[in-house]
Amino acid sequence: MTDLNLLYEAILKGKQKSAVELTNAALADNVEPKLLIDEYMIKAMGEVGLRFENQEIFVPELLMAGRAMKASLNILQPIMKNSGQKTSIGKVVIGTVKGDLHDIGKNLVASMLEGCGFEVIDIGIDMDSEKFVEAVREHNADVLGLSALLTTTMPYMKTVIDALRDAGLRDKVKIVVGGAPISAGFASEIGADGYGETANSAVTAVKNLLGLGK
Amino acid sequence: MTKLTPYDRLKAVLDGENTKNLDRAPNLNILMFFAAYYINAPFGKFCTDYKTLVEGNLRCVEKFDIDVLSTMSDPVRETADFGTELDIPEDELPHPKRVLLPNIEDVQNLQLFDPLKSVRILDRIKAIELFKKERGDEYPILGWVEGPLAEASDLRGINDALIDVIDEDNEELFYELLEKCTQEAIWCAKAQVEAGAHIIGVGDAACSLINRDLYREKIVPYEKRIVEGIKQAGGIARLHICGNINHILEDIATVGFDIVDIDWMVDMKHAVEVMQGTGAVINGNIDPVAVVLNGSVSDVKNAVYKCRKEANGRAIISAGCEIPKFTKHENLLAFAEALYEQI
Ligand code: B12
Repeated sequence: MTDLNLLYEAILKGKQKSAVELTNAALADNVEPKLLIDEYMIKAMGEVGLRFENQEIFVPELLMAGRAMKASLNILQPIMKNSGQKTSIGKVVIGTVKGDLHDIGKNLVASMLEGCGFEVIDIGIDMDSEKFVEAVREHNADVLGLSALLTTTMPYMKTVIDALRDAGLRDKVKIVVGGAPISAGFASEIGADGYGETANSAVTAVKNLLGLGK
Repeated sequence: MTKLTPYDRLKAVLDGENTKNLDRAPNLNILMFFAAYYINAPFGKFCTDYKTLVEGNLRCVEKFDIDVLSTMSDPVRETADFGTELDIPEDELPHPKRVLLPNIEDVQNLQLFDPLKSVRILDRIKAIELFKKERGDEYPILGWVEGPLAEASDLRGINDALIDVIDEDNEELFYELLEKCTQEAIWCAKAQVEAGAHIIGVGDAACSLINRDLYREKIVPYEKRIVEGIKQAGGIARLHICGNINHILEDIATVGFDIVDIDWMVDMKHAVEVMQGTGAVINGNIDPVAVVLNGSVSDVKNAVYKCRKEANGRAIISAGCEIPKFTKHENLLAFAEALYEQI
């Protein structure tokens, strides 16, 4: 029998190769993919987020963990799909707003969300409101995540929210915002539904909005 | 107290003089977007036309009592000269259209360029020459190069570079990339000192995002070589890393920089202590956004007083990072005034 705690460790330490090997080994032992994801992989990502928040690890470690997680998910998801299981607990479109090129924070949020079971469509940086509207419509997103790192670009979040309203989509999608200069106060001021200070709290915020909270 | 020239003021501090014995502490506030906006020039032009950059800086240093003629504009000058195609919006920051090295193996084809035959570094060299002609004996002139991790990030894309730096599988290739970035930085630094730059700034922003061991083991050796190169050419070496560098200050102290910039999240008092005896002078660390951009005149003055007290005459006083474009002139004037005032 594969020691599944090693899978937890592999993701925590960002070891992509061992994560893949252990995932395959677990499947060979007939372990349910859902059990692997819920009990080991998501927990590992939760710990990664916590350590990042406490500055025990930094961006590279988080990116490595995200990459290992993704590699395992890529093996498990097709199997779950084939057996008719749900592979995602919700769909999130995420991007950095127009005029803003910062994408590290947004990527970390995207990878934490993915790690925690969401399907994430990352549309990139420097995105105008039409692109956000298009993506929300095309993917039928449950949640839209907006990122901004500049005081000069944060007001654009409101432009995006207004555009969604004009397109008649505002009631169909929950909006969470984040990025270093963003505060909970600002989030409610511009009419967002949620706010996350870190990648971890981003996950909590999204879960709460979808009624998936613990 | 006799009013010093900006050059003599900075020189005195670098020679170990306490700023309390001078007319005031030097002011090395970083102007990029602000300087372009001040002369109504679009930022794209400021980045690509040295005459615009020089005019913006000359007019700002006089008006706002700043002690350096800077050639800073954007982080992708070397990146472009290495062969990256840029998007240069009219009034925004130039950035790569696509990264030059999408795969780490591509580093094997990366060729160094001669700064004197380049485009964007040559434009910076021309700015230095023009500064020298205009005000070179009164003001220190600041050249600039990207540090090893910053340049690697610009060539690879920051997300991939931040994986490269930790990924053991591609270690050799990543070292090759750092090596090439370092050799190029030394070449560009020397060319700028020869053109008349007194100081060479090394921008290595991505270092605030990595852990201490990685910084010490993988980046410090390369930064050291750049510093040696600058000093051999006769220049003063300044480090600029935006963001929180509390966790790597002790290692930065070993690199040999003459000036170490700190952003507002860093503890001024602690940073000054860490640099004690290393020959490095701290430069910082007022919050550019919360205080300089969004604060009132008295907020700015109070922040400068506080910073001066914490530094106790042992630091250069500036904002921790670039002065934002829409900063009110009265705030930047207050900044300068607060440096002269008795506290
Ligand atoms: C790396 C960096 C850059 C890189 C960006 C590379 C890239 N591809 O991302 C480059 C060099 C391109 C850059 C450029 C500029 N930058 Co910059 N940059 C930084 C730096 C050093 C780190 C940012 C970062 O990645 N942090 C790490 C991540 C993990 O943190 P984060 O982004 O905050 O994300 C976390 C949370 O905010 C949250 N979060 C983020 N997004 C979202 C989204 C959602 C939905 C949720 C829920 C949560 C969430 O979760 C994340 C994970 O915990 C910061 C300084 C600093 N250390 O903060 C400056 C900084 C952000 N930059 C700044 C500035 C001014 C600029 C420039 C204008 C400077 C210039 N002239 O060059 C340009 C602007 C370019 C542009 N148009 O965007 C300022 C912003 C000031 C302000 N508040 O307006 C900062 C704070 C530096 C400073 N002290 O002045 N920069």
